[in-house]
Amino acid sequence: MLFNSVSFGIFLIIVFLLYYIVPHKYRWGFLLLASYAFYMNLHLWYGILLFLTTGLTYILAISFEKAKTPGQKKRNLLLGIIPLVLILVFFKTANPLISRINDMIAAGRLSIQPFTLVILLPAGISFYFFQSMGYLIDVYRGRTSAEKHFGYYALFVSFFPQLLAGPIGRADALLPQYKKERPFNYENVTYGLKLMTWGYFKKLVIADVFAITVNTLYDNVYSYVGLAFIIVTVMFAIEIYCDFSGYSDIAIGCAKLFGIDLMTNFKSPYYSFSIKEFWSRWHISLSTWFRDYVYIPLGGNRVPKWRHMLNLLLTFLVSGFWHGSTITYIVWGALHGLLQIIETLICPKGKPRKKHFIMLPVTFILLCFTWIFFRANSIQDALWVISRLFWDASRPLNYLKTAAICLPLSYFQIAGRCLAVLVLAVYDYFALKCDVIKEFSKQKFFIRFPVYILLLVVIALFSPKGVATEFIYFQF
Amino acid sequence: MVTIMKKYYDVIRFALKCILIPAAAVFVIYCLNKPYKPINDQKYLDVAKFSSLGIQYTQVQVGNLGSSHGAYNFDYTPLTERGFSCFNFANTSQSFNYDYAVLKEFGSYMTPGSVLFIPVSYFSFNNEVTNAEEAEAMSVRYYHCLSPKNIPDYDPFIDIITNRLPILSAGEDIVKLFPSLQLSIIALAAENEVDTAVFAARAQERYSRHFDNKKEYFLPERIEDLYNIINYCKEHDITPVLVTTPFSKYYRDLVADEFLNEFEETVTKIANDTGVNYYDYSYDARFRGNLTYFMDADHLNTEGAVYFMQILMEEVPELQKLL
Repeated sequence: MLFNSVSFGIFLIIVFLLYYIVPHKYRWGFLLLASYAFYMNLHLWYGILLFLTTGLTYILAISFEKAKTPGQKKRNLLLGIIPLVLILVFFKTANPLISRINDMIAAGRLSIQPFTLVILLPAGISFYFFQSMGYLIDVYRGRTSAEKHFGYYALFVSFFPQLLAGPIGRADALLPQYKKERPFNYENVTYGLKLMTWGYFKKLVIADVFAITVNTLYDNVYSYVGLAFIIVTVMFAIEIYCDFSGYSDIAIGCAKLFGIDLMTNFKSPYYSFSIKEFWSRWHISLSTWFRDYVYIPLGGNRVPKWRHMLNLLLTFLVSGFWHGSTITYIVWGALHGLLQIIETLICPKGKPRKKHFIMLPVTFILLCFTWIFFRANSIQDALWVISRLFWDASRPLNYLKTAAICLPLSYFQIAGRCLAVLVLAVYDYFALKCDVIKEFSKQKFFIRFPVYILLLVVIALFSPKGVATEFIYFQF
Repeated sequence: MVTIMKKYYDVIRFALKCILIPAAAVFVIYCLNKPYKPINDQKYLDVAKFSSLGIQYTQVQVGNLGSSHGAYNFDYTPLTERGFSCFNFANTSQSFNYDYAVLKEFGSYMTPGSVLFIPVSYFSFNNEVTNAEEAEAMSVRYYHCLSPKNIPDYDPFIDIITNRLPILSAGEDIVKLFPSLQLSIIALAAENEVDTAVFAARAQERYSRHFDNKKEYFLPERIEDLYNIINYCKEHDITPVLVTTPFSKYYRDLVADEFLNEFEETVTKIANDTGVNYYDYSYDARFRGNLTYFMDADHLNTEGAVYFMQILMEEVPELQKLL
């Protein structure tokens, strides 16, 4: 059940209506039931894995409080963390490994029959495993107490708006919300719906439309050269942002319908003046997770300089691996680590960072460069794209002409895409200064209503029709 | 009490907005859809001909089904000049399952004793179009002329977005609602002279379209569709005639002998099983090397199609009987 499918729309309406009919003391149970139904609708055994993960981490977290010695406590922590990490590594590496073995068989380097085995990566596993691991570590560190009520804890792990692709929540922020009485709140619910609509606009009108062009070129890179690659890479930067932030907006808005506040996941990331700033604005729930549970335990920046650099690199390599075990994601992570190291060397800690306007496009260009590795189907494809970016650029007219031929877009399509990006840029610009939806809600109804109606009409008219496209981050 | 009142006030306010705002959006879409519908219909001019059935054509005496081979290669001028009522039911890339659907929808306009040509091409027992997107685009046109019960794999969602509310699938075509915004398109002048190199290249292209990326050339469901068409004709006193239309040698020579043998076996078996005659003009000496009769490698031009009809009138006993 994808957020952009009709079945999800029907599911959400039913759950929303019943939620406010069910008495407060049973609401957690109802939400838990709805979350499992949502998840098991994808695959039956996904629910079993989710339940086992919940059970294991629940028992271990309680065992911390009963542990008599710190050693016993640590052993219990490792008992929880190690299996989760191993399962995650297995699911992340199995398919690339199988495909590599098959390649070797096909190339004749192994004298066995090729086999067709595909390990199904359970949807959202990276997200709820990280959420559970974060909870275990927090309880271990004493930052939060172990949840005694299994139902509340199970809901914390499985709450359906955030289950498939986050935002990765923290126990101290979420668990109290599930216990609190949450009557129908007009402001909250309407805010949630508006945020969801904005999320759908980003996903359906921008990301899905851009994806058509991006996929055409990136799935057949050897047929294209030149400026077209630069344009589609910029388009991919916008696509992935709209896809994932659109998903996050839908998830946060959806949770708001039930009176639950999830953490903000994106804060206008392309208005960053450095890569470090970008990571404080992009996929915030994951970057703070890596900061708190990987970077800081490694020593963070309170260690010798070389070690600090190494910590940065390691954290981003792990982040790259979290996205996938293929070399392209690892290179993507490594590049981000290296860029942050260079930034730290140029602008050491303690020195005030001057936000020069030129850093805005420079950061964006650097980010686009790293996105090439993220999007390319293989490292060879990425290198081909990079080596052909300025193909024939010495003849500007030809350079432009080739791009026009490679990108089969009409003037109206180009104008439509530019307009959509302009709307996004304006929204994000104001989002730096205020809560756009809250501020807009204060306007007179004759200003607000036409905008809401226009947004719905634009989504209905300009979203690609047919099979609902998956969100990019569902694969991680 | 005040709190309870406020609570319900909020719920009602929320419910009203949830209904009114989407309703207003639907109304706007409906208003845009109205002027867009005739513009959208322009896309499906090839099936617009069916609207004349029942008005201009009520008692069709000679007709044909088929894909572009049927659409282009049958020119009824020699028959209409003699006062016969004829209708071409063919559409580009129309496979047997759609032939059958068209027949079920419009077969009642064929008069008892009429003759129906069923073109059998090399791709007929599979689909001419194998690309899923192109196949979907091709199937959409039938939502504009057939009733849902006759449309193979009818999908109400496609019906809504392409037929009932086509504005939803208009995309950039929406600009056509505002003619002043449209750019003029300069049409390229067509080449009139016959260029054998162009023919050969086009033949290769057509061959690839008909033969590449297909695992099985003779799908059981397509064979069954052909049996269904023939049975329908017999039940309604229509005389079916199987025919393979003329191809230029540039196209025909590309086809492998093994395939041709299997193709002939399949068609002959169906003809024998049903007692229907099969006429093969695919390698007819009067056409194969005479490029002046062809529009491209496997389609006749108007002159060729008229000539082909004259040949059918002289050589097909079922048609002669009617004449």
